[in-house]
Amino acid sequence: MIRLEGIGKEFGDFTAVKELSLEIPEGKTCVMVGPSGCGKTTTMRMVNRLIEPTRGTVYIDEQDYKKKKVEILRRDIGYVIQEVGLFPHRTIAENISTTPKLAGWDDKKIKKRVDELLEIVELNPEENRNKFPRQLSGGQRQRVGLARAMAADPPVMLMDEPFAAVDPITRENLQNMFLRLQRKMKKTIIFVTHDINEAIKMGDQIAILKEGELVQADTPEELLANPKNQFVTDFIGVDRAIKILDLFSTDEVMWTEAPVISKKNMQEEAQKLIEKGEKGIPVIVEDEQGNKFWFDLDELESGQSLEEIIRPLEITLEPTNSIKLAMARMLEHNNDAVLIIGDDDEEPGILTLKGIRNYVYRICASDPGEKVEI
Amino acid sequence: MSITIANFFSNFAEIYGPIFSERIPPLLIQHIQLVFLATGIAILIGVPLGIFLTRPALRKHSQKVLNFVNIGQAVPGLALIAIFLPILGIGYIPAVVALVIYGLLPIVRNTIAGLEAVDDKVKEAARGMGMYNNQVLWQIEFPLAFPVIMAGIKTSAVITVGTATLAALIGGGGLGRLIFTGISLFRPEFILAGSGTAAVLAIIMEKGLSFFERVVVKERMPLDF
Amino acid sequence: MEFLREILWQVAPIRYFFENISRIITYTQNHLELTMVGVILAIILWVSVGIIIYRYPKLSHGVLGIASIVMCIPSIALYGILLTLPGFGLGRTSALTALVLYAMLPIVRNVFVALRSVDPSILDAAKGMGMSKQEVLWEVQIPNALPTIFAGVRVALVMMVGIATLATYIGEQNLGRLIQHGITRTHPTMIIVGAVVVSIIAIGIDLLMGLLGKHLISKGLQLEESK
Repeated sequence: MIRLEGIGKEFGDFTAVKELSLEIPEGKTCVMVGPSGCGKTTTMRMVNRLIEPTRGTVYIDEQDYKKKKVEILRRDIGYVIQEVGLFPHRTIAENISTTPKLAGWDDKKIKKRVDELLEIVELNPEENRNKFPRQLSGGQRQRVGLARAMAADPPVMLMDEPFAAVDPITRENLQNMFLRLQRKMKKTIIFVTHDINEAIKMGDQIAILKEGELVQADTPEELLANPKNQFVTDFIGVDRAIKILDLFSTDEVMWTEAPVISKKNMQEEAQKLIEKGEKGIPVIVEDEQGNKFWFDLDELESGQSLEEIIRPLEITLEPTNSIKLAMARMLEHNNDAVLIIGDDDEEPGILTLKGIRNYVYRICASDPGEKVEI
Repeated sequence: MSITIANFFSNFAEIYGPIFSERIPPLLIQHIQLVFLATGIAILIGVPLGIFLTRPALRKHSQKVLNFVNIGQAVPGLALIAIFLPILGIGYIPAVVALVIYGLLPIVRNTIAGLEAVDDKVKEAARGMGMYNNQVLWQIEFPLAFPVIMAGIKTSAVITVGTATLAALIGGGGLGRLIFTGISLFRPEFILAGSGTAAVLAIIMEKGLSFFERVVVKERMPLDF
Repeated sequence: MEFLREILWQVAPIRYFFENISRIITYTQNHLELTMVGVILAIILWVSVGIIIYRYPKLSHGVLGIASIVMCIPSIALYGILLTLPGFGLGRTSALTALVLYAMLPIVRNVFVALRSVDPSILDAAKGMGMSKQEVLWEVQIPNALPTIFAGVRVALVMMVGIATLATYIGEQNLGRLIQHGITRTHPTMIIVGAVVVSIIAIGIDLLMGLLGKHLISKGLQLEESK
């Protein structure tokens, strides 16, 4: 666990960071995000004391970090930067073994660790071990940069815009690789970016900074649902609704208790539902071959026959898919609902366009600062 | 104390007065003439040669020329001066020829290097706007390469001030005469007067040309120290 | 073969060279000794000074200014000045001092410039990984600055070979002596042999330094940047 306690930095008259307190739980990724000059990089660099804080301190695992010798502290904190900063005069293997060597590991152990790390970052050890940084592409270099930072298996990692310098496709690959790794490694990470999309994707927790002050620190979901003020709303961007689609999974929005009726008697069974007082819910219709259709109970009011109203429910997705994917599939097939089927013990659900619309609208229509339950 | 200092100065004036009033001026003038003549000729030959060697037809050979020039610069000044003695004999002309050849090297090298360093994209843009080749050269390449060429001329001039002291060995005159006379007769005052004047001349040359360079280039591009 | 020897023997400088081979070897030894001792002293002294002015950049202007002034002084003039100083005089001390002084600009300047131009992100990464200031200097900065530092040493060394030639006038018994005596005795053959031998040595050392550089400098720094 990392706890920043009232940490601040002044450069002469200029206050880069005011008084910032923040707690990053063990094994979680905190993304610091904000416009340039907001103090996010300064804050991060105070955590490994590349910048000495003017006031406040940092506790790592409840221990005041000033009690450790600064070099020793840094060896336990992986450090990844945008420019990677690989040593051009050393081979890939030598680069990766930097911290293990500083920590005094023996050669055999180092060699094994290097190959292991190259595998982890999805580079072939045979091919790349003895290459020099200048022989690698930008994406490969950043993979080596990650491997080097993780070499001595530090519990904490600092990452300063690590994926900003590569092309969009490579960036996406690196982000996904890192997410996969982090799921296993469970390191405590501070990740700096100026890209809110990256923040939403990578973070368990997002800290938005402005002019050296922490504006809001929350989970991505909380942040999108409940931006604290206009600044946060603006920073999230005009396409906040679309970002929500990306962030929430289908099981959070789907109906799990939609009634299922048989196609043969659908008219009567629908009538029964209305008599029971049901309103505005999706109803699934199943024929004898097992084909599924659906309609919304409210649609009956139009006076049309059910035969005309029902439409096939032909798209199936998993509960972990994003709503954005569900939207995409619906648009592609000109449908307005998808079936969500998870593992056997999970209840299947139906996700409708109307449901998504209401859900997103409920979140977005609230004023900044107003609490929305999600 | 004041007496010793006064003595020192009167001794100093007694020894160095005649040297500076009688021996130095003609030698200094000769030295300056040598330097200016040799550097002037070296510029007139070196810059066009450098331009010539970077034109498309010869460009692929320019690296070879640079290698040759670099090797030439490894030849010690004394060796170069001396080697002309058996060929051209003793006197002013052989001295000038030797100085010109030695002074050519940095000028040719920097002219080539300066012109080669001009971004191909800039030249292409100029051509794309409809410039003729010689317009590209004089309006684009030369101005951009000028700081580097100027640095070469400066290096050449300063080296020539030094090498010109050796011209005395082959009868070319200059401040070297006083220095070598001083060494062979062991007259420290001759050595010091000649050496000091030559050193000051070289420093003035360096500072003067640096100043000129800064004025002309208007500090557009940082050069070396 | 015999015939070829006959012909070559007719070429005066070649005959002179072989007739005086032992003297020329002695001169060459003295010449190389002076330059080698000079370059080693120069490296120790000026690399340190370069590192110091990198650490204290306020000093850089003054130190580099002095170096560029020293560089301007004609070599025979510097020898001449040293010759008259008490404690120097005729001989090796003056010669060595002059050589070391001339090496100041190329070495100090290149060390300073090279250390400054090491990519800051590399240093940031090195510090961030927990290297101490000394480790950063010796394991990261110097190796990365080596190509430029080495180029400075190479220029200095070749220049020293040339300037050492003139040290014959202040009592060094080296290859310059052939030129000096050739001039005073108007003996063209001697001059040519002296000039050619010293030029070959200077060029040879330059080429040798080029090869040495290839071995000494990390292969990783000699590679072209890939896209």
